[in-house]
Amino acid sequence: MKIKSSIMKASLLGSLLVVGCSTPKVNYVDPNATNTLTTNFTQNDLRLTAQEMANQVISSGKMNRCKSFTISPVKNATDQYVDTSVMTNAMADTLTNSSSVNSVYVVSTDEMGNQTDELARQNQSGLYDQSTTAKMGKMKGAQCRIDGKLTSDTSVGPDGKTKIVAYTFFVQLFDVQQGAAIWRNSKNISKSLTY
Amino acid sequence: MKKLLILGASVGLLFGCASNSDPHVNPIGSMGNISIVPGSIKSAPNLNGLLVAQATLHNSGRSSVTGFYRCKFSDLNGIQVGNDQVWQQVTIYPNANQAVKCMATEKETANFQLEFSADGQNVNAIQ
Repeated sequence: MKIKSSIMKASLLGSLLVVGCSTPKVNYVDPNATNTLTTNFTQNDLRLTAQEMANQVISSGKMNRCKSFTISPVKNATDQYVDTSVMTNAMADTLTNSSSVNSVYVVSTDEMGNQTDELARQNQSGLYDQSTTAKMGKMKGAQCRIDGKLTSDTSVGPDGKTKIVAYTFFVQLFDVQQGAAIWRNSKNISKSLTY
Repeated sequence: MKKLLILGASVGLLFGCASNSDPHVNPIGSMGNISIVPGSIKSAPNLNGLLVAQATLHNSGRSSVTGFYRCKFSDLNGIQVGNDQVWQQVTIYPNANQAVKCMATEKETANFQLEFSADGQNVNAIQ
């Protein structure tokens, strides 16, 4: 009995020592790697859908009907928080950096605040040589606009052990003056969680 | 009978190896029951002069396989064009073929390489 008690005490002490001394590990992971930790719409999903849509619009050649374009903030119609600016920026990056796109990206709604602040600072603060400042009223308008919307639908199995979340990302390219859709497409992603 | 069996096994091995050893294909980890259909790897410029590449995968197993793929593009000098892409998911049903397609977005793209992971283990953030 005494030996058993001593062994138990020693084991408990040993366990506490091991747990107490172990340190959490941090590792870098490939940012393009798949993330199967959650059924939420992750950064990888955001970039994947945005890149694919941008690639498809480039491949269609219809982007070059527009001399200039802007991207409206992507609407989030899912039931979770999604930083849709990642999608907007990913699409803008792909379109702007592609050597086969001749259109020029112009300031979007999200960026307008910084743009007007800078113009005001240069023209109204009295600090700048007016012969060197960017002038007000000279901004280029967007001939085309890219619009996006993210939706989701969740299904749960009758035993509650399986959940499937289906996401759809819609993208449209509009001619701003005519209001006509030049190109449109959608991308679907489904994720399942099983207990 | 023995000779026939050995011959059959050799042909099968040769076929199996050849279908996944194309320089345009880079398997990440074991391909398992997935193989590239011989002669299915194609690439051509589309109407806009941008390279489009396609390969067809075959699942010889009895259950569906969810794999991941992406393409890496290079120019005439073999220098990579564009950044690494995010992995795309594809489901291949048992005894079925599934085509995967990649589109380049840069005019200077001249060549491609398809990377494919049959089990997703090596391309998952958590390993």
